[in-house]
Amino acid sequence: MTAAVESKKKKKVCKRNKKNWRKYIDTKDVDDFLDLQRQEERIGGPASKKKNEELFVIDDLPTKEAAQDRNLPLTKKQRALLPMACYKNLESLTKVPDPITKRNRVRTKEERQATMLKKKRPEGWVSQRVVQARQDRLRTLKKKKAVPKGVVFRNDVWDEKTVLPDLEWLGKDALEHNLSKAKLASIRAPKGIVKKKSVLPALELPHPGTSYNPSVSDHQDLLRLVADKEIELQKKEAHLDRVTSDFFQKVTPAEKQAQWVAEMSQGLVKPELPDLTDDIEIKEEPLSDDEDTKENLRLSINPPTDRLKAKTRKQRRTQKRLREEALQRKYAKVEKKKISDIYALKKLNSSLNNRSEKQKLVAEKRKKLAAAHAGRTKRLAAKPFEEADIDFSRPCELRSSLNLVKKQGSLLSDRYQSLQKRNILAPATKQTKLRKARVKKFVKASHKIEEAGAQIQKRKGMKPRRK
Amino acid sequence: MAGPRRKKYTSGEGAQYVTRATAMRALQLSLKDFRRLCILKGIYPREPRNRKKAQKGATGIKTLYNKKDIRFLLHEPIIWKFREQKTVGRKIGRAKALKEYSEAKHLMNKPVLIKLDHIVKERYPTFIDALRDMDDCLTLCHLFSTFPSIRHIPRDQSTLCRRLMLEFMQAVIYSKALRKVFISIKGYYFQVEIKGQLITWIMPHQFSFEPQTKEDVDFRIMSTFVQFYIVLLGFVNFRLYHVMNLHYPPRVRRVEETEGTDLVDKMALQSERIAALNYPLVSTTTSIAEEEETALDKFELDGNEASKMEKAYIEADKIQKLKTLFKGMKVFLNREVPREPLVFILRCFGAEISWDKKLFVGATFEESDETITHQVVDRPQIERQYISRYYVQPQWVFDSVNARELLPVERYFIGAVLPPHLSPFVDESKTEAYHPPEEQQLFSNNENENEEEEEITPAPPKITTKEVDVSTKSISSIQKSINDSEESSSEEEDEEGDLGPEALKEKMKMKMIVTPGRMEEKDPFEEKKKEREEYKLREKMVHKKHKALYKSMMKGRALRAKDVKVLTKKRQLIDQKKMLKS
Repeated sequence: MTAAVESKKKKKVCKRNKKNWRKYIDTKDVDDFLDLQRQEERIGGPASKKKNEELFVIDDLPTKEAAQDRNLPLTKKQRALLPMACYKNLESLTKVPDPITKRNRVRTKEERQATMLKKKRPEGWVSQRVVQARQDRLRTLKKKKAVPKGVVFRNDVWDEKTVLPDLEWLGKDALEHNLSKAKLASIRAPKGIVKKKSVLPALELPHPGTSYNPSVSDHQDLLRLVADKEIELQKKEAHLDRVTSDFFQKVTPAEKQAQWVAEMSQGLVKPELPDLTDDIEIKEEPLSDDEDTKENLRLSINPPTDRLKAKTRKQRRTQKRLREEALQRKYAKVEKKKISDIYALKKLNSSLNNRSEKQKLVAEKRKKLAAAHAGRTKRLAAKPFEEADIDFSRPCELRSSLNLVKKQGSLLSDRYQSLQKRNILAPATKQTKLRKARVKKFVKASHKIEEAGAQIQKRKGMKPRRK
Repeated sequence: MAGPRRKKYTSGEGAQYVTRATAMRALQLSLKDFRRLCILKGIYPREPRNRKKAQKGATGIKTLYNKKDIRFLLHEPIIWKFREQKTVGRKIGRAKALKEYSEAKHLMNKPVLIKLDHIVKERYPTFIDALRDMDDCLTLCHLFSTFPSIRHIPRDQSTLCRRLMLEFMQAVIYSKALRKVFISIKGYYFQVEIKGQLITWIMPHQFSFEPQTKEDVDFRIMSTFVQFYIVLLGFVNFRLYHVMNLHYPPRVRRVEETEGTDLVDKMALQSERIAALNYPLVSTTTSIAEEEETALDKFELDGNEASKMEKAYIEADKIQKLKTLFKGMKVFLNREVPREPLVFILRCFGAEISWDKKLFVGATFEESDETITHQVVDRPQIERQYISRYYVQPQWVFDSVNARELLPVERYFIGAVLPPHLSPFVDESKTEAYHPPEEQQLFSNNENENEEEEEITPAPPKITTKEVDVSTKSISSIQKSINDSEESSSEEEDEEGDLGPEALKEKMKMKMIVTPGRMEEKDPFEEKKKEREEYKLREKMVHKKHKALYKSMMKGRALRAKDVKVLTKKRQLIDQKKMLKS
C-alpha cells in the first residue's frame, strides 16, 4: 500500500530498465495467487478437486464403545510394529509431487544382492549371519543326538593314563610348574584322603537275634542287650534328676508370686503411716542423694594430673640412661653366663637327655591312648554323638512267615548314624527356622509428627514399636 | 638376643587346623556348597589333640578341618561349577522378579553336569580300594532305589540307583560271587566276594519307604553321598563287566525278536528285562569261555602256614560246590514270595526260575510245567499241588546257601514250623561256647539226615580232616600245627580207640594190599609225650612281637574251655538228679 501511495505521490518514475521496471511495478495479486497455489500443493490439492470419498467418512459405528475403541492406546506389540519415530524427520512435509518423475535411486546393498541371488535361492538374499546360525544349529542338533540320554559310564577310571607331552628338555621345576598351569598334572592329594577315618566297619554285621525268625537264645541275647542299655539310660537320667532338678526346693506358684512381690517392694514406703514428720525426712533424703551422685560423676578413677608435677627433660633423660644401662648389664650377664655354660656341658647334656626321655614317655602314652580309643567316635562338633537305639522285635512281633515280617528301624537313619559314628559326618541338629536379628526401631526426631508427639514421648525408652 | 617375639598359634597344633567358617571364607562357598564339596571329595572334620590350641585359644567346641585339606580343596575344578550354579540362581531370581517366566524356566531346566570321575580316581587309586569301600555305596544305592521323588533328592537319582544296582546284581549272578545271605528285620543282608574282597550290603524289605522328619536325617547330605556313590558304582560296574567280557551297559539275549517290534521305546524293554534278573547277559566274545577255576597250588609247608593252607583248600572246595548249589533245579516262585532277593540268590547258584506271568516280565515257564522241581510258597496251604515237585518255604533257600549244601526239604514244607533262621555272620570265637545237648542233637540230626539223603541225591561228600590226612603226606605235617594239634590228635585217638585192636588190624590190612607186613608198633603214650614236647618247642618259637597276643589268645581259649567244662558238669549233675528222682 505504501508503495502505491508513494507511486501516486511520485508521478514520474523511471521504468526504463528492467531493474527499474521491477522496482515500481505492483505484483501483489500475482504473488498472492502463487502463494495460495503453493500452499494448496503442499496440503494436497484444493478440496474442490477431491472426491467425496476422500473428504467424507460414513460414520457407521454407533456407540460410545466404538469411540473408546478408537481412542484405545496401542498395545506394546502394535506399537512395536509402527515405524520408528526418528524416521519422521526424513519424510517430506509437503504433498508436492517429485518434479522429476523418473528419478534414479541408488539401491541398498541388500536389494542389489537379492536380485543377484534370486535365481539360486528362492527366498532371496539371506545375510551371512543367518546362514552361519543355521549351520551351527544343525551341528549342535547332531551333537545332541549323539549324546546318550541317561548317565553313561564308558571309560575305566582305573585304567587311564594321562599322556604327557615329551618335555624332557625342561627342568624339573619348570616342568612341574607348566604342567600344573596347563592342568595336566593333578594336584597331589593329602594322604589322609585315602585313609579311613575309623576302624569301625561301614556295615556292622547283624546280631543273630535280629533274624526274622531267630532262635530263642539269640533273641534273648538281643533283648538282654537292649534292656541293659535302657537300664543304663534310666540310671543316668535318674542321676541327672537327682543332681539338678531335685537339688532345689520346690515352690508353688502362689508362693513364688508372694516372694516376687516382697522382693520388688524392697525399700518402698508402705502406704500405711502417712505422718507429717516422716514426710519432711523423705523430702530431704533424695536431695542429699542427688548431691552425692553429682560428686561421684565428677570423680574419675585416675588421680588428677598436675602440670606442675610434670617431669623435666633432664629427668626424662636420666630415666632413659638408667634404663639403657640396666639393659646393658642384663646383656653382659647373659654373655658371661654363656662362657660359664661351657663348664656346665654335662648338666646341659643330662637335661637334654631328660627331655628326650620325657618326650619318649609322652609318645608312648599317646600311642597307648590311641590304641585304647581305636573305635571311638571323635568329637567333631559342639553337639556330641548319640548312639541310636538298637533295633529289635518284640517276641509278640515275631512271625515265621517272610510275608508277615514286621520291619524295624529305618535304614536311612541307620546309615546317617553310622556315618556320624565313623567320624565322617559331624553330628548336628538341622536348623529348621531361620534366625533373624531383632532390630530395634525408633522414629527419628526430625520425622516425628506433632500429633503423635505426645504419644511417642510417652513411649520413649520403653518397648520399641514393631510393625 | 632372642629375636622378634613369635606370635601365638603360628606353628604346631595351632597352625594345623581351621574352623569351618574360616574354610568357607577361604573357598568362597556357602555352607550348603561347602558341605557338598567336602562329602564329594572325602574330606571330613578332624578332632585335634589339644582343642584349645587348635582353636587358637577360643573355648567351646568348633568343627575343625585340616588346613592342608582345605588348601587341597582350593584346586578343585568343581568349585567353579558351584559358583556357576550360584550365578544361574541369581539369574533365575532376576528373571522371576522381572516376570520373564520363560527365561526363568529355561534357566531352571538347564542341566548341571558335574563330573566326578577324577574324584573317584583320587579317592580310590586302585580298583581294589574301591571294592573295599563298597558297603556304604551299595546299601545307600539300594535304599535310594526304593525312594519315590522327594524334596532335596534329584528326580532321576532313584531311577539311576535302581539301574546301577540291578547291573551290579547281574554281575554278581554272572560271576557267582554270592557267599552269605541273611534275612533280618531291617532287610536282606547279602555278602559277596569279588577279587578277594568281601562286600556286604542290605537290600531293604519290600514297600519299606517311610517318610522321615528333617531333624531325623538330613536328606540333602545323604543325597550328596549318593551322588558320589552313583559314579563310583557306575565305574565299578563298568570294570566288572569288562573283566567278565560282557557288554556294558548290559544286554540280554533276545528271546523272541518279534516281541518288541511294536513297542515305541525299545530301551525300556531292555531295561525291564534286565530288571527281571532272569535273562542271561550277552557276552562280547562269541566263544563261550569255560569257567576257568584257578586251582590252588600245593606247597610243602609246615607249621602255622600249612594249617592255613589246609583251611584255604577246604574253603575253596566248599565254595566251588556252593557255586553249583542249585544247578539243575527248576524253581517256581509263588506270587506272595518276595521276587527280587529270591531270584538273585537262586540264579547266583545256577537254578532256573520262573514266576507268574502277570507278576513281572521275564517269566520263562508256567506253573503247570511238570519238570519243576521246587516251588517256593509262603502261605499256610495251597489248593492245587503237583506231586512231582517240592513245595518249600523261602527260608529253605536262604538256609541252604548259608549251610553251603541242600538242606532236607521236610522241615521247610508248606505249613511246617520253620527251624530258626540263624545268622551266618557269627563270630567264630563264639562257636567255642557251651552248646546244650538239645542244640547238639538238633545239628547232629541234621547231619544224619544229610547222610541219608546222600543215597538219593549226589550231595557233596563231607570232607573230614582225616581223609586229607591220609591222602597227602604234606598235610599230615599240617596237623601238627599249633592251632589244630590238640583237637586233631584227640580226634585221631578217639577214632582209633573206638575201633579196637582187631578192627584196626583189619583196617590196616585193607590199606596195605601190596605187601602184607606188620605195622611198627608205637607207644601212644610216648607219642603223645613227644608231641607235647614238640608243641612246647614250637610255642617258644613264637615271635616276641606276637607273644603277648598269643598268650592272651590261649588264655581266652582256656577260659572258654573251662566255662564249657563247668556248664557240662552242671548239666550232668542236673541230669543225674533228674534220673534219681524219676
